[in-house]
Amino acid sequence: MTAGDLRGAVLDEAQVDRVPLDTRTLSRDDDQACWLTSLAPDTVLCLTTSVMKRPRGVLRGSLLADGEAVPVRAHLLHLADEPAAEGAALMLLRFTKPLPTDVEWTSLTLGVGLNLKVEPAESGSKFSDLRTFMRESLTAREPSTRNAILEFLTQTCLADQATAQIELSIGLHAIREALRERRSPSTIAKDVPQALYIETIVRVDATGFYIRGWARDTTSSSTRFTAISPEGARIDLGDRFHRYPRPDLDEFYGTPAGEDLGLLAFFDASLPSALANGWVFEAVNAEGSAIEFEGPPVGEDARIGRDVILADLYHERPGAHGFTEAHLHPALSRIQARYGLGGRVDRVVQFGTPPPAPDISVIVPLYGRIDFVEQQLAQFVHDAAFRTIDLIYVLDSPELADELVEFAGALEPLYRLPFRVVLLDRNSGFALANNMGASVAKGRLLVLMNSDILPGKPGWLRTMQEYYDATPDVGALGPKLLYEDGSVQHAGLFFYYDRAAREWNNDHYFKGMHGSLPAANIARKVPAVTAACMMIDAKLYASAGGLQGSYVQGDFEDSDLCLRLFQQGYRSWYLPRAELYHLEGQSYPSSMRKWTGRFNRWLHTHLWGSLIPAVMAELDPAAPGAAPTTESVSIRSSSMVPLAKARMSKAFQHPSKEVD
Amino acid sequence: MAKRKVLYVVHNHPKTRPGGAEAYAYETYLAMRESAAYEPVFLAKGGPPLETLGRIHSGTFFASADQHDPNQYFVYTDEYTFDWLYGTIPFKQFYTKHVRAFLEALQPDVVHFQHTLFLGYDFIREVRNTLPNVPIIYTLHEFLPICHRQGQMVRTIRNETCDEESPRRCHECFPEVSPQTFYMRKRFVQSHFELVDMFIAPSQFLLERYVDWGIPRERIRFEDYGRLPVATTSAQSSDLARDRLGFFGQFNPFKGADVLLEAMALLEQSDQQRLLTDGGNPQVPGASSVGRPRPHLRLHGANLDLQPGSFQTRFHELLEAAGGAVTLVGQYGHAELASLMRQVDWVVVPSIWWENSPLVIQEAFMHGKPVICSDIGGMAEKVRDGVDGLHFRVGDPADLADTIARAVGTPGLWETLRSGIEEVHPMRDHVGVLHELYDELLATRAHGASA
Repeated sequence: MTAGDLRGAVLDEAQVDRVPLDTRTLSRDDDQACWLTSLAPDTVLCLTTSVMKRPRGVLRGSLLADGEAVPVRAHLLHLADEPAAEGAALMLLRFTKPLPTDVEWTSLTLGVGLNLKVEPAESGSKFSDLRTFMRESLTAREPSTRNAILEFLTQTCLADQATAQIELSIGLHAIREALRERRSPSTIAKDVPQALYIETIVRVDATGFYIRGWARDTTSSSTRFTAISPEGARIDLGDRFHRYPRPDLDEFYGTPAGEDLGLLAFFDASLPSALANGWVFEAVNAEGSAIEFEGPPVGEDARIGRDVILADLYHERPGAHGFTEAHLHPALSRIQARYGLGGRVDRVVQFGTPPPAPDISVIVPLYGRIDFVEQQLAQFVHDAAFRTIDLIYVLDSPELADELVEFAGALEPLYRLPFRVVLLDRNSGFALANNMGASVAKGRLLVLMNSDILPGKPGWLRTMQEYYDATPDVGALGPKLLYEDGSVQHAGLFFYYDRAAREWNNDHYFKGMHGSLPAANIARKVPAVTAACMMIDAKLYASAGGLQGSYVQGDFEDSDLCLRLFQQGYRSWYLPRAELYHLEGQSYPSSMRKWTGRFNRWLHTHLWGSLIPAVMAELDPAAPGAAPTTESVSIRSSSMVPLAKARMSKAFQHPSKEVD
Repeated sequence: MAKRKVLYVVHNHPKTRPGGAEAYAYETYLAMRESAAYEPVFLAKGGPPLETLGRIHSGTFFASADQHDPNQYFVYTDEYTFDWLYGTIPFKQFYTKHVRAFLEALQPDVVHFQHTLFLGYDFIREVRNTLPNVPIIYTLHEFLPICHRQGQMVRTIRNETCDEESPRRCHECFPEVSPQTFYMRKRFVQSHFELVDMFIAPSQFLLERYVDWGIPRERIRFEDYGRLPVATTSAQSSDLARDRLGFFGQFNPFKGADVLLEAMALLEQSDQQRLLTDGGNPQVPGASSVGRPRPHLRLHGANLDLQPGSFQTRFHELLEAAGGAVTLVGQYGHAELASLMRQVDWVVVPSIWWENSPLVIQEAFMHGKPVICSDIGGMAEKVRDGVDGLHFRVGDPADLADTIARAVGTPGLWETLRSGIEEVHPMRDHVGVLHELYDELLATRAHGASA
């Protein structure tokens, strides 16, 4: 069983027993014994009697084993309930590398002049395993001592760890179960006034967790909540939950509790936790009445977890941002980072003969569907430019890797167009898939392109390249995008303030209008352009940091990039002479769209709300008096129709570089 | 000089499946064998589901079809799924391996597609890949590249004729397919059509439809089907009642046999009512001296069993209602056509889809039979109302009943219309046109290559 397997597994007593715990006898020359037991390959727990009286804190030393000296750090905890003369102490030995289980210990040197001789454990030793060790030496101690031991062990074992080792966590969990002070279990009954229930735990990252549940206490107005990790770390949650109504519970109890019972929280445990099972939650009210609830297994999958957290936006009223700011954003930004972290290019497969020195790289991320490749090749093949450029498909659905490689291998001899397929080792999201495509791109110019884009006519790529090269301040260049019926999908992107949501939102100029509308056919600077099809200098893209992975699933990353470029003095340009079709909305399940959109919009506003008015003032003269610095300023209607009309009339007055 | 090879690519062999386009393609092949300049090769899809016996030799996808004729081949695609929406075989190695090997072995100088159903539009691309300089010709037999509904351009909504495709309208007909997908379908087909040097449209009507759809006008030409001569009946006595109608075609909703049956039922009904009201008094204006003419219909066709149950039920109900006025003859072979034609005076073509250049109209004319047809599309183009036939309002049984009553009840009308029939495009002329086209395209390609 690997660590990865254990992570999601249910930890039970039987498993604890199977963990290899090695107990040896350690003795000094004066025969005052202490005992040690293995918690993990690099971690050994030791209980001494009087020998450790004087030394405190951390001792450095080394273990001589099999003729080799292994550096070690020893953390000491003097047990307060022992008579001082006895000087009993717990010692945690952390080696710099894992020790093989069959290694022969010779001697252990700690600090100055403390030499311990190691002898093999005698058979029939009364300390035969960790659980016995715990039961006979530690379990019977005072609650305060037991808590101190737990805190000492979790801190010393986990504080310097980025992620928890499974073996260590299992050992710590066994210790926690032996030492932990238990509260009465939470009971859900109509006549029980105090109840706590946690229905969902989502792993955000190694130390971050997100919970959803509810709590009710009709006897007290104030309750402190504590989460206890499977490894024994106690996290004070205070009462900083986002509370939301649970009418179903009010109905169950018959009387409203006078407060919202539902609770949502993101919290950081500060110490890593590796186990899926074993979370306990405590509620202690001001009167001292305490209950606990054993949590459900942790949802480990980042992708599923992300969607679970996002869907809780349902519990935030439109226009309110409290939950988003305190819980959703920190949780999502970290789970997005984890989602993106570790994603890397697994393999790049070349199909056909690569062109010698491509000046443009077209990067197309594929997610969920690979059939678009054939559709695009069937169009690109009639454009001479595609014989000289670097066409890159980035597969963001690793499960389709074999299928795509086979399909691509079958398509190339038919279409005879060179292209590359970049396989990622994991799903990484739209932004990072583009960035990883860019990391292998050979062209001095990049075109980011969605897989559901089809060019109108050949020649658009060179048209864009020539325009890009001839425009000094251009950052991102966006073409005209049409729907399948020839109406405008994208003619540049602008920002408007949504007063109900109290957030800035993105929209496209002239969306839905006929593609021949004169105003939609003027090349000009615009506030931003879409990444569905965007040309950008490769160096500029890299220096700006590419698309940001903090947004969820292909939304707002484009305007985010354009705004970063704006800050650096570059402008987004719209070029209607390059015309493509965007067969939008086929590749992403829409059930989550509402929540991802709302989060992304908030995040985008959070990051750029202060810059956007200046951008709009410079690039969208139709925006009356630029835009709001405070919410009280009436900005613009959030209704689309008047906006489109405003654009139509104003766009003609806009100083244009070119009329197509 | 050695003859140049022209490869005809057909979706079925008429020996395995009787069908208009297949029959025409095969006749063209036979006629082209007489050419001094071109040696035709006939390649048709073989195997199930239309032929019980599939591939005989394992691993052989292109196989000689006739041991006495070195120029007939079957292509077996039954191992591969066919994507009906996009008109393609998703297993691309079929093209890049097997089609390529066949073309390389055969080395045709001209490739003339008669159809790509079951074979896929990608076949065209592989021809261009393997043989960069051969002219590619594509004859359009219906609207399959445009319309997912079996190329009929009849809407799934109340079987209305469709004037214009668009992603939105196609999606209305097939709600399970998104408009975006229909757009991709069109672009996919057009991508492969880009490689065709010349399209042939057997009717002006169809030509205009394809120009509207996106084929450049300079790459599509009108040329009707050519027909081999048939032995026609000669002397027929002129005083016969011209009251025998014939229907020749598939019993499917598009061919309109149900419209015709309903018209016959209406005629039968009105006849019965007349008997009740005037006692069958023969002194009715317009009635002949031997009694009012009562039209009789002979239905020739097949595949009723393949139609939806509701259509079958309605067909049988109407057949019942039409009583003795209709004889269900059933399936017929191409060879029997002449004798079957002899037994009718009029041929009715009541299709509710546009049709292209219906072979049954050519056959009727070749046998000297005026045609009563729907007033739309290729039918209205090929049959001139009041000259060599009569039009009725498409899909309208009452109007068809009136038209039939007028046809059989107007003395001398049959003779007038018969004398208006002109010679059907002879195969020898048609082959000559193809000849010139091949020459022209070969010259253009040779010029383009040397330029």
